[in-house]
Amino acid sequence: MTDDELRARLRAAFQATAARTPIGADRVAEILSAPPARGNRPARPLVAAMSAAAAVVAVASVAAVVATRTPGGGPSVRTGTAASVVGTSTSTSTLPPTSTLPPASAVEGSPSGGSTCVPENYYVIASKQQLAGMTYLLPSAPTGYHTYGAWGTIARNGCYGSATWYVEYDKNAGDDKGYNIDLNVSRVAGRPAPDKAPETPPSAQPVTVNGHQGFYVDLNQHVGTLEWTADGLTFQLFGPAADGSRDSLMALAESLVAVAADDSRITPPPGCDVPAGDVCSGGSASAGTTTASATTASATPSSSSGAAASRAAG
Amino acid sequence: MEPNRGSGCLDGMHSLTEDASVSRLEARTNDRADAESFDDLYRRCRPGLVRLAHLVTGSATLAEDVVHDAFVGLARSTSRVRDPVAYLRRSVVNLSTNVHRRAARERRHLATVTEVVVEPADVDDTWALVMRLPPRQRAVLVLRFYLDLSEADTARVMGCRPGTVKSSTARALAKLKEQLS
Repeated sequence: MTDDELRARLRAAFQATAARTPIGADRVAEILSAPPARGNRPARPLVAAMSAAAAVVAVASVAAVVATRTPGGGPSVRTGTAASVVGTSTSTSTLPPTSTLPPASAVEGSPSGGSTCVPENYYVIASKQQLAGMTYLLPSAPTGYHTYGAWGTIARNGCYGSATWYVEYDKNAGDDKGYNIDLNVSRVAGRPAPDKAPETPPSAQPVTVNGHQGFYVDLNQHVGTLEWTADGLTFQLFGPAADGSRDSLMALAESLVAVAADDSRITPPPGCDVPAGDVCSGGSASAGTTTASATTASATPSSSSGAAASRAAG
Repeated sequence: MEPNRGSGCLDGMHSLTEDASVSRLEARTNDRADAESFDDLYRRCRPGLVRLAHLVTGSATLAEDVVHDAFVGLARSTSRVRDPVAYLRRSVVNLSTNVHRRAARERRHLATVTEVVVEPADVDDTWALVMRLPPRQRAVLVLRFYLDLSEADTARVMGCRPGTVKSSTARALAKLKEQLS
């Protein structure tokens, strides 16, 4: 099967499935008649259930609780001018930083529980403290690669304390062949990383990475993914695997080193796309600001760096 | 039928500028008018967003909930959202990819519903395999090949960089190809 054939099949499957989607009765009245969760109140966090269903999940302690600090009135949509709409068309992040920051307690919330969840759809660059113990790197970029960047976020749609650490190594300029090397290290608040063995997909090969159980999945004879858990963290390393061999990826995995969150080898990605559109919003943050905030900012709304680092992503 | 088109809700990033409702929304400043605008937006965009959520979650029932939550989120954002369509699209994708929560909700919800839910294409091999992909890979494929978004636009919706979209797409396509071959 060619790539074109596969894409055609995908499009047909999506179109057919979408066409069969039953559209139920609308529930706009339910939204509009809900008591306002906002108003001209003092700027303090409010914990509001998003919906009955979400509330159930929140009670189950895995839902994100929306903590809002909004000064507006009833349900409304304010659009920008046509020019501003065009102006924001390069980014789907639509909320100005000053209006979208989660309340301090949500971002800097204590790990003791309560309303310490990240509001839905917020992207917040993790602070050094939040990334403690997660900042793994390769000792140096492999030959033919350079470090694109390393950064961490506190989990979207997840309870505060969950975080993901990203390190990406790009192929050097002029080399469009092959695959990048991506490392994700994630921690889920409140529970240990699951043992990878029970989650092993059928096509996976069991592996042991530095004594820790995991698996390797050969994706297409050229690239593969290693996953393993260690010390409460889930590691995923994606990268090239010549001729389907996992050896090179295994070698990379076993060479990972834990470094301090302020290690000089940690370099944030260039530009303003970490996460895309969420850091350098509204034209108020320069690339330099992004660079500074990407690894060092405490996501405190009241701080300028936090303002740069925190964005709502609707 | 082109379920991914229409009403300016799920088209490209510039769709709002082409939508007549924009000028109406801009013209309204009081709360009552804003509420009407929300209602208009809801009715205009909801069907397309439900289809999008259905593709990402794999469940029509969940899709309804996801879209409802997205609109609730928009309503709670009061007057701060400048591009509600982009906000909604991103919310729907983000909420839909939160698979663990959604799965739990689905189980609870399915226990209470009595209507027949049309499950998507269980006879379609391709769709069945897509449903086995990780949620974010599935979302990338939906955005790329259902909404026909570019890698850059997909990255903006997903909150990642274009390179990640590229690698996720490659991974997902490779898996599908292997399984379909």
